[in-house]
Amino acid sequence: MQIQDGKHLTFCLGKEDYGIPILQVREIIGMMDITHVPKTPSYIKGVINLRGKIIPIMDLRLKFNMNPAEYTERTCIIVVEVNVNQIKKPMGLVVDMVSEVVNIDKDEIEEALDYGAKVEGDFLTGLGKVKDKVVMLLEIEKIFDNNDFSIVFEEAKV
Amino acid sequence: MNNEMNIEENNEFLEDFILEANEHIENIEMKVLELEKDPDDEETVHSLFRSFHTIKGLAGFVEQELVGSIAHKTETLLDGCRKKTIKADKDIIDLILISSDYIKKICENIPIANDPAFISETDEHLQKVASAEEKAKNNLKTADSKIGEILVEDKKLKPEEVEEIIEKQKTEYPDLKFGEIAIKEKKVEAKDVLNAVRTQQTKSNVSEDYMRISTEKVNTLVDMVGELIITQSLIEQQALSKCDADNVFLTNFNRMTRITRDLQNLAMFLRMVPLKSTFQKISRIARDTINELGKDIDFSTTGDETEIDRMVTEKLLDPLVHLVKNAISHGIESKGTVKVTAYNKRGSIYIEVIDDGQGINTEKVYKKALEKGLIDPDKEYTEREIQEFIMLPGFSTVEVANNISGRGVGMDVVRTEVQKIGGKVEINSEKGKGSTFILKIPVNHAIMNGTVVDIEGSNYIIPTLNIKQIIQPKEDQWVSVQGTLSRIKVRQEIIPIISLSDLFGMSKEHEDPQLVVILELEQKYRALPVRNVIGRQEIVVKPVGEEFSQLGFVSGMSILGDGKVSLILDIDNIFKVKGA
Repeated sequence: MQIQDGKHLTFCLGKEDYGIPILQVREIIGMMDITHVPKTPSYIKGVINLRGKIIPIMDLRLKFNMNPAEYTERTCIIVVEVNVNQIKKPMGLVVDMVSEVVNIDKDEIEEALDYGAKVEGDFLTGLGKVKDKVVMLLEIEKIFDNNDFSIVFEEAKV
Repeated sequence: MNNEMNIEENNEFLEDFILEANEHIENIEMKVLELEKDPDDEETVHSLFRSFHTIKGLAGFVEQELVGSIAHKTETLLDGCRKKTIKADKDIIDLILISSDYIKKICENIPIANDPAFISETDEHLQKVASAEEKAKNNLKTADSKIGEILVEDKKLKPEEVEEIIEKQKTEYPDLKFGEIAIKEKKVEAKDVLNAVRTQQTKSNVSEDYMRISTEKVNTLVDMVGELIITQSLIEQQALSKCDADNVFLTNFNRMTRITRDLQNLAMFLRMVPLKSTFQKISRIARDTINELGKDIDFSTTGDETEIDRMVTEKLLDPLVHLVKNAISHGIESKGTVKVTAYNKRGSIYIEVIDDGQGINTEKVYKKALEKGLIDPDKEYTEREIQEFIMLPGFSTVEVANNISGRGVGMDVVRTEVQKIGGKVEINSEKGKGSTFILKIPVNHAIMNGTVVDIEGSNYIIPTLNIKQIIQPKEDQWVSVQGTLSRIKVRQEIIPIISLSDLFGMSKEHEDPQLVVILELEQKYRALPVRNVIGRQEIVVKPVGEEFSQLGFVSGMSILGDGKVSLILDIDNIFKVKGA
């Protein structure tokens, strides 16, 4: 897996810290009304209206098989741009809290193995050391992998 | 070079020029086709004349001399037609079309105007124009006879007096205009001539009462009106909780609500354009293709007033051109008719390309598909299925690619392009009778009237067209089969109830449904239990994102007044859900 260094946006899910490349982040918005879409996996929360554009929302906690959490004032939707079949699509990720933007150098990143977190190794590009914390660096395309949507499809066909 | 510097400086003007010139070229192409049908129609000739005249003027302004001289020469030719000294026969019409093509080429690629090869090409053409125009030169000016006609209409002059004045114009006053002579000869008063001139100008300006607006501005307007309505509904909720029902504020507020609703409707329809300009382009291409192949084909279009979202028209052009070229080159052997017709039915737009040729040769198609390994050799296919093979990727019956239809791209491209805008392609072909290709473009990208209903706490939209009625069923209308309510009796009909657990994968069945929406599709009925009906409104349909495209029950999404997204139910799909 290719290690991505540079600026990352970090956020929390429970006690764990995660980071995604800042270049893929379009904006951060507060929680808003989500329209549920039936026949989709539980981690697909539904769709929202982002200033006239309809974008799908995924709850990262549920995606990573973590316990669901109540949405609070700190709960955020990170709107990211994902490459789906060579088209950039905006999608929203629900996270507990957004922390900060950090710069992570290459030599601060350790290669990902199975570290026992509930994130399957596939989503990780590496582990970044930021001050006293360890940040799990995610590859967004892998989270929204085509296979993932095919799960939506299969369930939908039932 | 100095000239190039000017181009640089005038970049903005040049863009305007190209935009406006293209508009006139479009008009020219349409009018030329009309002229071909009716060479004596003065209004058509005038319109053509005006378009070239305007292009000439514009070209002078941005120093596009080549365009200017093409437009000038063609204008002179048309002047001859206008004065009836030249008959607008096929040769003349061809010359006019070629002129407009050259101008179009320059507009597409401004530097070509400095290319020597291109210049000599246009020169050659202009000489032909000039020689045709030569005939006109020997004839006399009667350009102002129209003023005379108007004055006769106004009963200010008698027809014989008009003749007299024209005669005088030829002999005594060759440099004066008709009106001037008429005044000089004391036939009419100056103010009558002035009035006549005004009438002439209004007549010629009737068709130009439009303005150009960029699509982006319209889109921004639509979005902003959307925001306005959302904010308004928030205010409304606050107002309702704070004011009494007979409060003056509420009365005024309601008035405003009506205005914003009208505004919203208007904004939505701004994006709708008639298919006219698409059909014009197709007619032009059809004409060229027919000429090139030397076939005797009568090409016509109907329904060009059908309105469609502008974005869709752009995406429709290529597939339609392909279908028309196909019909002309393969559909018809040597003589026949090709017709393109558009109409609006049940909230979808249908465009049909019809030819009366030999129809699709299914044996040939089957053999070809088999050869290419596109189909299963052991399977039996119906005629209809075989016809559909021509839309398979990699299928093309013409061995050698020609420039009329197909360079390896074929019907499969048509199908994918139409699918991209959410449409479908159907083929109806009968041997010996001809083929019809039907494009069905659904409500996607468009506006539709939707009824918002509450199903188990979520809002969904049903196309109002598909709603036959909404009923509050009485106890004895329910029909229970094996312990579950599965049918409902409405007058003489027994209508199957749609199971919400089948449709939405809900764990429990509807509990004590209050209302039932009776859906109608092709004379069949289904009953959809709902908790409540929220209202009916015009909605803007947004296509379903790729990630949800496999969810059959949703045909689109829309943002409602409260800013929330609602799913639009796919009625076709609902009728397929179990319970039938």
